This record gives sequence, C-alpha cells and structure tokens, in this order.
Amino acid sequence: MKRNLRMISGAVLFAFLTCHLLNVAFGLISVDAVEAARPFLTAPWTIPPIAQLLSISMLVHALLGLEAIYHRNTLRMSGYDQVQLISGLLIVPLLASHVVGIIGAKQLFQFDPDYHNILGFFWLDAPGEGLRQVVVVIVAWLHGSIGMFSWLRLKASWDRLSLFIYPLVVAVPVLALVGFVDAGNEVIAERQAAAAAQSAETAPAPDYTDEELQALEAAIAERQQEIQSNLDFLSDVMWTIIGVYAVLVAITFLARGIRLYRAHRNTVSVRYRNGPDFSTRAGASMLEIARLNDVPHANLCRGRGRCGTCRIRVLASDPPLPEPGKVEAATLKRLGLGPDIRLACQIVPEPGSLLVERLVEADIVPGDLHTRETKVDDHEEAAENVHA
Amino acid sequence: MPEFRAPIALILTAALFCFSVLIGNHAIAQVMPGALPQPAAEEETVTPPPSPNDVRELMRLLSDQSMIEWLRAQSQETAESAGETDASESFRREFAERVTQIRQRLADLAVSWRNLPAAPAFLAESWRAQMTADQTLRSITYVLIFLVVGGGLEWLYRQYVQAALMRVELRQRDTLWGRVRAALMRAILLLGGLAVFSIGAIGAFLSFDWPPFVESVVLNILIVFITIRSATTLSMFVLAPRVAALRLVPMSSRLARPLHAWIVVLASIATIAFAVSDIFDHLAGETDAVGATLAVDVAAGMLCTLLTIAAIWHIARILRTAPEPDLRSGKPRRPFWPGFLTVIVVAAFALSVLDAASLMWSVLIIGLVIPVMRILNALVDHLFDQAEGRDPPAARPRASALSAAAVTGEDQAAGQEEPPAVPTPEAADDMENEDDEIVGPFELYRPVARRLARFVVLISAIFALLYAWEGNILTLSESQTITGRFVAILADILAAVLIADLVWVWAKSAIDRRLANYVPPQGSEAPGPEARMATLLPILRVTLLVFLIVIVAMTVLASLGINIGPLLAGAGVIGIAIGFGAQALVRDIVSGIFFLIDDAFRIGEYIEIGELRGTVESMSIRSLRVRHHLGAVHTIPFGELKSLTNYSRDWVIMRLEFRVPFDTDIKLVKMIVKKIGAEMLEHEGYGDSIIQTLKSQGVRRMEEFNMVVGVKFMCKPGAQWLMRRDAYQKLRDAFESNGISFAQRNVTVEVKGDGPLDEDARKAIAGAVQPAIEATQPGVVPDEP
Repeated sequence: MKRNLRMISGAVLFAFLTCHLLNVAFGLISVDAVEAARPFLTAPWTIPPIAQLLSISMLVHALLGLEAIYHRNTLRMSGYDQVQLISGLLIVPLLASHVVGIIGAKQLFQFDPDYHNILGFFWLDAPGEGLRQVVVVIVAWLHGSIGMFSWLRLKASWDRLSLFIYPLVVAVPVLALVGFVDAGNEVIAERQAAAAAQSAETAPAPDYTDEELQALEAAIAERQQEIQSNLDFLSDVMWTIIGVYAVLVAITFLARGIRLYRAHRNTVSVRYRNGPDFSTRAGASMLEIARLNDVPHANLCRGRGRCGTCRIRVLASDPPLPEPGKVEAATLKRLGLGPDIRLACQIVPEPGSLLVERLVEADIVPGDLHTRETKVDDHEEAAENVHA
Repeated sequence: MPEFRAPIALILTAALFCFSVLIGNHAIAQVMPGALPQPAAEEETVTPPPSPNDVRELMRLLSDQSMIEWLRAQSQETAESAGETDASESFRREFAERVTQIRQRLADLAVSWRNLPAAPAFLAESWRAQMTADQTLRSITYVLIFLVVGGGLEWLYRQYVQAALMRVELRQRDTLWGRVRAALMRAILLLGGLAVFSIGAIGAFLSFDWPPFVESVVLNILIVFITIRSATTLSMFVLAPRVAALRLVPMSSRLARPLHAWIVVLASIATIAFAVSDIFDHLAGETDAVGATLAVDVAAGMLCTLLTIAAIWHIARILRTAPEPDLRSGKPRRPFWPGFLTVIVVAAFALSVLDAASLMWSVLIIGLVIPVMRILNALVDHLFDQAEGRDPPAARPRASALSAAAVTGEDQAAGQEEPPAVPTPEAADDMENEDDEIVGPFELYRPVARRLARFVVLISAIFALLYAWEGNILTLSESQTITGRFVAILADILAAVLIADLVWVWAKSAIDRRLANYVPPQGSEAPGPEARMATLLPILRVTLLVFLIVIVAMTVLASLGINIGPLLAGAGVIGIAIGFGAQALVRDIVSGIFFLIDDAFRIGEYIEIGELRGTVESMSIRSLRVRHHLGAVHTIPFGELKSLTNYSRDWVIMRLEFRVPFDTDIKLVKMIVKKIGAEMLEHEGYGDSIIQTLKSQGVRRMEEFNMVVGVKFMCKPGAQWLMRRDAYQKLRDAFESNGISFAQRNVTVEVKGDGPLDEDARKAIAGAVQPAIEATQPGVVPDEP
C-alpha cells in the first residue's frame, strides 16, 4: 500500500514535471510558442480535480520520502540512491519560492503571470531565482527519473523500452533548459529594445499641478507599499514552508538516529560461503550489511523486495530468521524459490551468527532477468567462479 | 627504485602544466626573438614623400644592368662584414635584453606589491565595469545549463556502452594482446564519454550568440571543466585507482589512490588558476596600473607551487612508510628525489615570477628528464613483465573480479578495498630466479624498448627546450641568435647520437641473443648452419658499429659546419679501389651468406658440385672444403658455386636388381624379399634409418637369358651403402637356402651332330663365342664413398 502510494504520487508528480518541462522547451521556437503551448501542457494541471491531485501527491510523496529515510538503516548506499535521497531533500526548499510565487500571484494580486513576465523575472529582474529554477529542474528531474527507473527496469519489456526511454530522459530536461536559455535571450533582447525605444522617445511631461502630482506620488507609494507587504507576506509563507520542512527533516533524522542507536547495540557475525567473513552491527538488512562490508550483491530494485536478485541461501542461522514478510513471500512465490532462500534486502538478522551464500551474479543486468530466467538459478557455480 | 620516483614526477608533470599556463600570457611574446622590439625604430624620422620625377629617375637607374651588378656586389660585401661582428653583437644584445626584461619585471612586481591592498577593489571594479551582478548570475546559469547538456549526453552514452565497459573491466585476460586490446577498449570508451560531454557542452554554448566578455568567461569556465575531466579520465585510465588489475603502471592501490587524488587536485587548481588569470588579463590587462593582474598571476603560481610541493612530500611520505615492491634494485632509498624536485619546482616558480620563461622551461625540462626516463623504464619493464606473464601471482583473480564488480556495478558501494596485488618476498625471489632462467619471447625487445623510451624522452625534451628558447623549431636554422644556432647544433648532434644508439642497441641485442642461443657441436656431432652464423655475426656486429660511428661522426661534423664533401669523396675513391681489388673476395663472401641462408649444405654432408663430389669438411668465410671419398680434398670458393647437389638430405632411394633364371618362382622371391625386409628393420646398426624397408618390385624386365628382378628401399642418407651390402648378402643366402639360383651369364652353343667334342673343337668354339661374351659385359657400377 505504502509502496504503491509512493509510486503513484511520484508518477503523478513526474508526469506534471514532464509536461511543464516540455512546455518550457517550446522556448526554442519563441516565447509566444511557450505561451501557446501552455493551455495544453501546463494549464490542465491547474484545473480543480487535477490540481488537488497534484497537491496531495506532493504532500504524500514528501511525507513518504521522510518516512523512507526514517526506515533507512544505513546512509552508505549506491550512487543512485544517494543522488535520489539528496535531490529529494533539496526539491522542497528549492521549489518553494517558485510555487509560492505563482500561487501567490494568482491569489493575492489576481494576476495570472504569463511566460513573458516569468521569463523576464527569471532572466532580468531576479537572475538568482532563474539560477535556482535551473537547479531545481535538474534536481527534480534526477529524482523523478531515478524513481521511474527503479520501477520500470523490472518490467519484462525494459530491454526494448530502454532504447526509447534513455534518450527521452536526457532530451526532456536538455530541451527544456536550452529552451529556457533561448526564450530568455529573446526576452532580454525585447526588454533592451523597449528600454532603448523609451529613452529615445523621452515622453513629454504631462501637465500636472502640484496637488495632482503629490496625489499621484502618494498613490504610487501606497501601491508600492501594498505590493511590498504582499511580497513580504509571500516571502514569509515561503520561509515558513522551508522552516517547517527543515524541522521535519531534522526530526526524521533524529528519530532514525534513536532507532538505530537502539538496534545497533548488538553485533551479528556473517559468513559468506566462498566469500568474506565478518561481524557487524545488527539492525540493518542483510543487503545493507553486505554493502557496508563491501560484498558485491546483485540488487536490481535496490532493496525494494521486488526483483529477487539479492536472494541468498541461508545455510545456517542462529537465532532462526523470522518468517518472510508479505512482500518477500510474494516475490519468493513468484520466482518459485525454496524455503531456505531469502531476499537479502528483506531479512534483518537478529544478533547472532549467519552462514549465507549468494545466488546471483553481482553484475546482473535487467535484461538477464527475463531472458535467462532459468540460468539465474544455477549461478551458484558462476558465483563461485567470481569469488573463488 | 624506478617505482619510487614515478608518482612524484607524475605530479610534477601536472605542475609543469600549471606553470606553462601561468606563464603563457606575458612570457611567450617576449620569448620569441622575432618579436623583440628593435632599437632601429627610434632613428626613423618623418620624411616627405619623393616627387614623381625622382621616382622615375630611380626606376631608370634600377633597371640599368651595370647598376644591378654593382648593387649586388656591394650588398654582398656589407653582408660579409656584418656577419663577423654579428655573433658577439647579437649575443650581447640578447643578454642585455633579458637583463632589462628582468629589471622591468622586478619594477612591476614592486608596483604590484605596493598596490596589493588596492588590487581586489580594482579587480572587482573592472569586473563590474564589464559585467553586472545580474550578468554574473546569468553566466552561472548558462554554465550550469551547458554542463547539464554535456552531462546528460554523456550519461546517455554511458547507458549504451556500460555493458561493454563492464565486460572489459570484469574479464581477466591472460594474453598480451588481450590485455592491450582491453586497455585500448577501455581508453576508447572512457575518452568517448569525455568527448560526448565536451561536444554537448561546447556545442550547446556555440549555438547561441554572446556578448564578447560573457563569451570569454563562459567558455573559460567550460574549458576548465573539460580540462579537469580530461585529466581525471586520463589519470583514471593509467592509474585505475580502484582496480589493481587494470592499472597500467606498477603501483599498489595504497599509492595509486592518493596519487590520483593529487593529480586531480593539481590539474583542477592549475586549470582554474589559468582561467582566472586569463579572465583578469582580458578584463584589466590593458588598463592595469596597479599591477593587480600580476598579483593574481603570482598568487595563482604560488598556490600551484605550494600544492605541488605538498603533493611531492605527501607521496614521498607514503613511499617511506610502506615502500613499493621494488624488484630490480635492493639499494636503500635516500630522500633525495623529493628534495630535488622541490628545489626544481621552487626554482621554476622563482624564474616564472621573474618573467624568465625560457630559463624556467629549461630548469623544468632538464630537471624532469631523468625522473621521467626512470618512470618510462619502470613502465617498460612492467609492460614486459606483464607480457611475459610474470606478474606477481598473489591474489590477482580475486582482486580483479571483486573490485571490478565494485567499480562498474552501478548498485555497488564505491570504494572497496581490494587486496593490493603486492607480491610476497618469496614471490619476488621466484621472479628473480625466473629472470635468470626463463627467457620469454619478448625479452629480446626489452632493451630496445627501453632505449626507445629514452630516445623519445630526450628528443621531446630537446624539442621542448628548442621551443622554449626559440618559439619555432622550423625556423631555427635561419635563426640569427647565437644561442639559437648553438642549441640547434647541439640538437642535431644529440639526435644523431641517439638514433645511432637506438639502432646499435637493437642490432647488438638481436645478435647477442642469436649467439647466446648457439650451442657449439659436441664431440662427433656435425655442426649445423648456426655454426657459420656464429662466425659471421660478430663480424656483422663490428661492421655495424664502425658504420654507425662513421655515420654519426659525419653527421656531427656536418652539423658543426665542416664540409664533409671531400671526406666522402676520399672515402668513395678508396672504397672503389678496394672494391675492384676485392671483387672476387666480396663475391665469395656474399654468395657464401646466401648459400648459408638457402641452407644448401652443412658440414658432413655428401655433395656434388659440377664434377666434384665429396663430404663437406669445413667452411671458411670465403670457401668450402670438400673431401672426396677417395681422400682428395677440393677447396671451392663460394663464388664459384653455380649449382650444388646434396646427397644427404632427408631421404634416398636405392634400387637393386639381380638376375634369375626364367624358371624362378617369382612369388617365392617376393616372400623372401619381404622376410629380409622385416629382418633389416630389426637390424641394430641401420634399422632406425630405414624409411621404407626392402620390398620387391617384381620383374623389372626380361633379358635374353634371364629375368631382372628389382628390389628397392628408402632410407636416411648415409645408410644406403651399408644396407645395400647387407641386402645383397641376405638375398644371396636366402636364395641359396630356397634353391633359387642366380642366372649365370652363359653362351649356349648348338653343335650339329651328336659325337663327343674333342679338346680342340671345344677351344675353337670358345674362341668363336668370345666376342659375344665380351659384347655383353656389364657397365661399371659407381663406387660407394
């Protein structure tokens, strides 16, 4: 349930991100093209049911992500996992100003900003914000695509699918960013041309009396004050969001630390058949223990209990391992594996000792899952060859 | 020992790069002599243009033939007289110029030092003048986007080649070719990624129009990234810090990792330093009154120098605490090289500060030649050891398989500690023993490869020096400065000596190897063709040595400016004279070499040359000595040999025939021959030499009074005579015991009438048939030797 929820909310967010980036990619043609594409790509996401779905997904996904961090036993992980974790944590603070700014402009100013305004804002009025947008695009895209990878690469059609997906994964953000630059250059040129025209015309001073002038200035000042207060309010909202998020993250890590401190007081000694032999702190899953101790392990789904490539044969265990959980039992059943075979990512050995054997080559690739289904099982010899 | 210095010098090479880039801007223009300002410019005065009439008059004078001759003669005279003073003059001028340059530089440095507090403000001011804060931020955005484009494309590339790369890294290769191919493949794949990255980033950059300064800044930053990545990739390829099995240099992981880290750090800092000083030169180079850019240059140079020194000492400390396995020399190490390299780096830095770029380059190049040569030597030895399959056997397969999986397997934690492939002392001892005993197939080329490496290093150093001093090697010969010419001559001589040395080492090692393989014949054993080679090769070696020395001497003389034409001509005349005189001798020797190459005969073989036959007894450089089987000795110069028949090669067939009466049972004969053949195979004297034993060929022909039965056998040369003798003897005995008689030559005389013949009549008859008997005498059968 939790897994599915995370996946679905992530997929919704990823779909939105893709649409939004594709919209920006029209900047390669012109700013007007971006604007023309908006009703089809970005605007649908602001229509009520979809807009709510998007907000809920955002919220759910962020909270589930924190929950996943809480359950992580080690922060020493593969490169992809590291990138995903860090980028996930970065998205909220980076994105807050953009989201708050757009929603705030609509709610407070009743002003629907089009791409001319926004691009001008990003490239000319606040280039720092523009830089932040580029960063957030990269970070969010990385996070999203890693998540989609982890899910898709276990599908049977991945081998064929990947041929199309790999280029797309690169093309979407690259086109969006290049479109952003191109549209930005256009907007900059427009503004410069406008400024030049204005200075050339030197508008004739209208005949105002002093009172009128004063009233005008007062009105302008009032207006500016109003804008300023609204901006301050928006800024407060943004910083509140970031602050709350930071507190949540801190609490998550703190709780995780407490949990691990409790679990880590005992040691478990692990021996691999034809492999290394070490003892380590208990509390982590077998896969994490292996990674902490530099034992290469296949794990295509990266510890999510879906692929079954991290399977090990448990030759001896003291105390005995707990029964397989629901996820593990389902995967074992799907693969038709015997009772002494378990998934390394799912078992958490109690303090004691363990003798296990790896069953799948560490360098397995997704294609092997489906083409060599039978061969995967008799990889014992192959594994022995590798580690002999 | 070589392994010891290798890493330090590698670092230094990186440092060299950073000096080069820092010096680049100011120095090169002043280094090039052609670009030196000429004092003549001051003497020019402004003159009004000539009137058209004067021009016409001048044209008329110039077209006059006698005038042209006179002018030509005059100009030659002045050129000759100028040439005498030119050398010392130009040298003095050059020296003075350099001194002035250094003095100027010192003054600049003083200004820069005085204004140091104002420098940051000045630089910031110039920056702002060129680029607002917004523009700066935008530039960062641009750079980020281009890096993402490049990075994304590289990631895509990696997805497609990942499987191939993993295959290359995981599989262990035993053959040399396999290893070379794997290394090449790995290099191509890694560099391909880098190329894709560069193309993506630069290509995205090029597809937009930029204001000039933004362009220079953005491009500089992109180039910094690409350079750092290139350095990292190259270092990764050579050092393979994580996977010992892929490492191309003899080094343990303990050393390779910090070394890799230092190379990356140094390359990054040097590139960034260069980019920064380049940007500031663009920014404020023209308007710089306070010496701020100079301060930036010096500061960047100092940073690089300090880092290089830190790297040298760090690596040296690692080496001291845990010496690398060093199999070739047991000499105790002294901490000489780190100190030496530090001195070189500091000296180079000081010279670069003083703007004496040529001197700085000279110090760096000369200081680095020896360490680099030692590295290359170590590398060559390592490669040859690998090629011979003499790697340290300890824990290799395990290390490669496990850690290679760790590096490329995307799901594996990086940074595994593979067991370093360090051989135990016993293994080292084994290897030393092997050095003496086993000689691999590539061993011959080891000294050649070493010399070649040395040759390449020295030649590159010479060219680098020339470049540092003269700017352009191609115009060197026309160079006017005395140092330029001196260096050019030196370079010529060195190149000639090095090439000669290379050729000599190759030839000498090849010849020595050949001679070492030659085992002199023992006792009665006949010497093979190598025996003659053994006499010829030393002569060849000496000839080559003399030839090389002569050639080198000629080249040296020629490059010193001495005319070697007469020498060559004299040598030519003498050569022709000797050539005519020794024509026959030369022909003998040369054709002897070719007979030898053809392997036409060996000592102990029975040969036939025209009318002469006999066993080869000995060979000299000129002639062949053949002993006839009757004792006569023929001496034949090789030049006289037109064709030669060798009776002692591979096999001979001997055919025998004998006559039996018409009533003989041929089947019985066949059986007897077969039995004798079997007996002969068993014979202990020649049984081993038989290739096909005696067999009957049936009736070969019919004669008037008898049948001729043929037998034949095939055997190794030399055994045929003994076998023939034995075969006849055995056949005769067997025929006798089987009641087969040999046909006798008889003349049947039919006498009419039946009375007994008296004595006279018999005599008369015998006399009458005598001619018939004599007419059928058998021919002479050749003697056996």
